[in-house]
Amino acid sequence: MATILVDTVLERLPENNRLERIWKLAQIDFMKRYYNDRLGLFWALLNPLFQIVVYYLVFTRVFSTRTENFVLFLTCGILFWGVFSEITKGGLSVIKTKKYLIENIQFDKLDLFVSHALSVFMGFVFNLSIYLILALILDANINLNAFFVIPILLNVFLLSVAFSMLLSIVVLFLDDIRHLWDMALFIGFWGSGVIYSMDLLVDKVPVLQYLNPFLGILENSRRALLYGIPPDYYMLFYNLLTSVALFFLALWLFRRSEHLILEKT
Amino acid sequence: MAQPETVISARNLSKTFYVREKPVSSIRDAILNFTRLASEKHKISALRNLNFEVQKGQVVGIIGRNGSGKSTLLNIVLGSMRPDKGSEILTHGRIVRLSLGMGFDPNLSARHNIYVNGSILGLTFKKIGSVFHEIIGFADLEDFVDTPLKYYSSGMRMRLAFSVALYAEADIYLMDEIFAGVGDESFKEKSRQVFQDTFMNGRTILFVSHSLSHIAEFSDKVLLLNTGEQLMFDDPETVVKTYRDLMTENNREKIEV
Repeated sequence: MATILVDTVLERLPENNRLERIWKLAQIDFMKRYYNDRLGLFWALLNPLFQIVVYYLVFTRVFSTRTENFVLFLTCGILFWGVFSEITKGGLSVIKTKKYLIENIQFDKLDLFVSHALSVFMGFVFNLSIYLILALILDANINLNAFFVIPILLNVFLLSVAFSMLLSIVVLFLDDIRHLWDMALFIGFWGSGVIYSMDLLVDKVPVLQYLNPFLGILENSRRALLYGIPPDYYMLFYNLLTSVALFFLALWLFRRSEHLILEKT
Repeated sequence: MAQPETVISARNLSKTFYVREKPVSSIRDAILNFTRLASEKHKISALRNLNFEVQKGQVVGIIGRNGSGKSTLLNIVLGSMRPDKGSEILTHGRIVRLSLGMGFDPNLSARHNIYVNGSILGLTFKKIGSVFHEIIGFADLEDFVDTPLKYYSSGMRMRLAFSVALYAEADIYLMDEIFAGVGDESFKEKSRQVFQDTFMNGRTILFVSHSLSHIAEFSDKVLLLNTGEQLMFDDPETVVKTYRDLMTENNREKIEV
């Protein structure tokens, strides 16, 4: 449905070949991931759902957590972190999977990263709408503050695309960086408060929230989508600015090394 | 009459590859070979000092034996490889390489592949939609529009690639053996005719071929490469003759050795 919507919007826009191309690449990426079976999109849901169930059981039965509305707390963290980890993991192989295009046609390779990130976001938007339904059922405080999710999503998007570009340069030289990146994501998962609150630690070591953008992103996404209170504006702007800066730095580095792609792969 | 416009110009164009005997491509290698990182590089000089100009609308053939640097040259013109320092390569307009089976994803249907390729080749969706049936029709694939390409025969795939290429809207076309194995004789003949009558018309084309008859038939000028050096850049008859002489000479040498 969303696809049809975007298609109609694109039709009404002045003809822009580049936007169309990015959208088509994203759509195809998405289809290829889920098209093989009738369950389709539900696979995008199943993976986070599975994680949520496991963490929920462990944290309520084994550790007896007292976090309020723990299901939504978990879902929020896992969905936002999941986007980042899926985009960057896929970003490692964007160059390889799209080599057939790079070899033959002159075009801006940034499009490949943007469209890949968009394709992951398509599944995310679907999951987010399910979260919202769940949130209404479980009595979360959804109000106008939920709209702050838009700058937060933009933030995650920029950050993910930036990391994808950086990783895709490194992987040209060091193929086994993917294993290191898996480990980095593991550390990130346990160090960003995806499944538990990091408030106590952050109070003790405040510098952490400047080093790990996800501390702020997850905190603010929960404020927007769970507690219904305004975000920590300072962290919101700090995170947005740093991810914009990182994005341009990554783009600059990528532009400097993209000519090596065919020589190295 | 409009002045001829230079769309590709190469000056002192060289390309050297540095290849390690043992390539370092992982962290483990990098650590183990830490001391050797800066050493033991082989120099392979793929292209040396090319100088030529291509005018808008010209069809330029590139010939040379295997390993003479033809594909490297196409890669550099396309911009996907960077030449050595001191080289100069200027190009104007959007460049596309038409190799058969180019840019196709085997898991996608012909329909999706046409949209992706067409879009990257510079067509808007509206335009692709309007020529979609012509593309499929020319390739004789009406019954297989939604079949994933992995189930296509190689001939079908090539027909599709050629057909998409015909509708591409680029300024400069690079081609690797465009007719090699394009379907059966009747399709080959049809393609050749269309290529000559409509495609070549006013388009700037750089094409690599081993077929001297294609080179002689289609090109306005021919670039002859030999182990990375530019032997000639001249009209087809002269170059083809030189190339024939060169080949016989080489063969004779080989036989004598």
